[in-house]
Amino acid sequence: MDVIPTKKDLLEAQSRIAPFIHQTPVLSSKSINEIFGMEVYFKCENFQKMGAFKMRGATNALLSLPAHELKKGVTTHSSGNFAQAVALAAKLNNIKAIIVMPENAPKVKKDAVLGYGAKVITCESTQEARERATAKVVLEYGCTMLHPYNSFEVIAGNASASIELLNQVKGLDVVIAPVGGGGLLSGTALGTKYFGKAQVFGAEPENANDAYTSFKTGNLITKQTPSTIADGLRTTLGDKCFKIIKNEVKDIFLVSEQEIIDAMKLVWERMKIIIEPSSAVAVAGLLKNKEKFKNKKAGIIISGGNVDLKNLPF
Amino acid sequence: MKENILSAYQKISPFIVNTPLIKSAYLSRLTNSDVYLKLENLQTTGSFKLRGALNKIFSNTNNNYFVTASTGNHALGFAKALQLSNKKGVVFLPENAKKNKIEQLKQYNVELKFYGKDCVNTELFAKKYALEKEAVWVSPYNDESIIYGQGTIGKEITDCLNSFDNIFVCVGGGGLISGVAGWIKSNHLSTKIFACQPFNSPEMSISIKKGKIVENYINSPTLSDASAGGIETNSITFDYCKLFVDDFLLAKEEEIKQTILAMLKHQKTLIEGAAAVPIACLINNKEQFKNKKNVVIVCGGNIDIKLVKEWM
Repeated sequence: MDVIPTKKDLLEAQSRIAPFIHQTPVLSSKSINEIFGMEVYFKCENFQKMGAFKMRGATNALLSLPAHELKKGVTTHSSGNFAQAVALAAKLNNIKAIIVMPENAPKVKKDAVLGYGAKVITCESTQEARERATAKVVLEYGCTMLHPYNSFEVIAGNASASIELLNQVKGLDVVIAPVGGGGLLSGTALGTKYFGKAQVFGAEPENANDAYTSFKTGNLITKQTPSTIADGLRTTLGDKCFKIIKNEVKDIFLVSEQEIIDAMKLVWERMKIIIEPSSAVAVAGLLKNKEKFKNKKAGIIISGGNVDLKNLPF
Repeated sequence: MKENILSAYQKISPFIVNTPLIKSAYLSRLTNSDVYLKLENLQTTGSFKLRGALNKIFSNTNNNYFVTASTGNHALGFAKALQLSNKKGVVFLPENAKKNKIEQLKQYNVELKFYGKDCVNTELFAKKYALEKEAVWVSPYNDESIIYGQGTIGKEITDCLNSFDNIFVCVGGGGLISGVAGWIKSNHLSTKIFACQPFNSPEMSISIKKGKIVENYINSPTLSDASAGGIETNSITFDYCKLFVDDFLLAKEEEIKQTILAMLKHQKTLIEGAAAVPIACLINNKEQFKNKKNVVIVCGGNIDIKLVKEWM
């Protein structure tokens, strides 16, 4: 797919992936509503298979491949949720998956990928080494490389979370999602544009503000050196994602590391659900700007719940 | 009982969360069965206790002053219920009550009084106080209105799920199981009722086996603090348990702890010890329950995150 997905593309993606994903619940909490001064609805992708929305985009990207390429298998390089998502999506469809992971990837993540039956190739942790190792896999095995976010198939798959949310909660005024590479925010923006009337906002850590800067200046930033607890958002905004975000997103909010940690703790304690720091970025973004949205109905895409339980920030 | 629970539901439903009933992929896989979780840890105040307390207060609208004794979830439910119904009341706590519990209660603008060194003494004193002040005593479990309030969980479950084979409920004083089992039995469902307790504080289980309420049982500390402790003499919940419970299952401390961690990791939800007890019991006896439709009431999520963090 070389052009921005249409409404029809999104619907096709949604039905293509439906057998392989969970329709996740939407939760709300009276005490959260009181604190925010608005109605807040949490779209719980932390309850998604493998614990994150990435399952949606990965599954759509995989199932969009022609049969002769699927036969040869798929590959990606990732240390995080996308690796698990590709491994699980491949397993559910009996497709071979070879995942390139940096040698410093947490053991639990590597074990999870292995647990889904994928082959793991380790490499040095630099971006260059990862890309080189992935290219080698493509050449050697003829696998197709799936990009974690800068792909219209991935974006169309991710959009299904917001489409579900808009069906589950009628009359949303605002939808907010975290932004790293931009795969979730651009999908959310498209889903909301086609299926709802809400304004879409992004939230990003101050310490990884490439999407914010790109959005504000109109020029895509391609390099940054992020240092944020929100490990899922350390990636740099993709150009395909940016094309959508710059037109369909109303604004991007920045949040500090402390605001991320506080929001994460607030949700754990008040909602009793486990969210990862990347998801807390969206919660913090909404909370920080609560005056703008007084008495409105807001949806937050809770992107995932894969937390390193041994290194909690609070 | 059905009519009473329906009437409770009518009164309290605008003020409570109809908590989600979700199918747990993780537990279903682990136990080779269909496992559904009724997530009362997502209830307002973090546990099911708000239901009973609200129903008790709404059933005594002519009174304006209410008294209870509790250090935990019942106190929170009671305090929130007072706030929602615009009534006044007091919570008695033992002098050694935990700081974080006191802080939580203070959010609700409820009067707090401290008396005695253990819950039994505090409760006796609080009851006497209620009598003197002509206030309504709100028992955590030994009260029909409380039981009907908790029974509304049963109604919400059967509204979502037509039939299921087994239900697993944590038992302390027995208010929750009396209400939920009462709903199921008075609707003539064939669902089996499993009462779950920690090994370290299994008073109801022992009482039912002995045919009478055991007194002065020496229990051990348990992570299931919300269900720990003895049962009041002549508690109506004893008779309900005798009537409704198909079997008792017990969980060890290590199993409770591992279940809390597993639910964090795989279910992405924070549960307290008492909520882990029925899940641990289901896992322990998974051969007996395989290929069945099993419902577990996740009764609360009020656990100190610092404690959980220490386990990791």
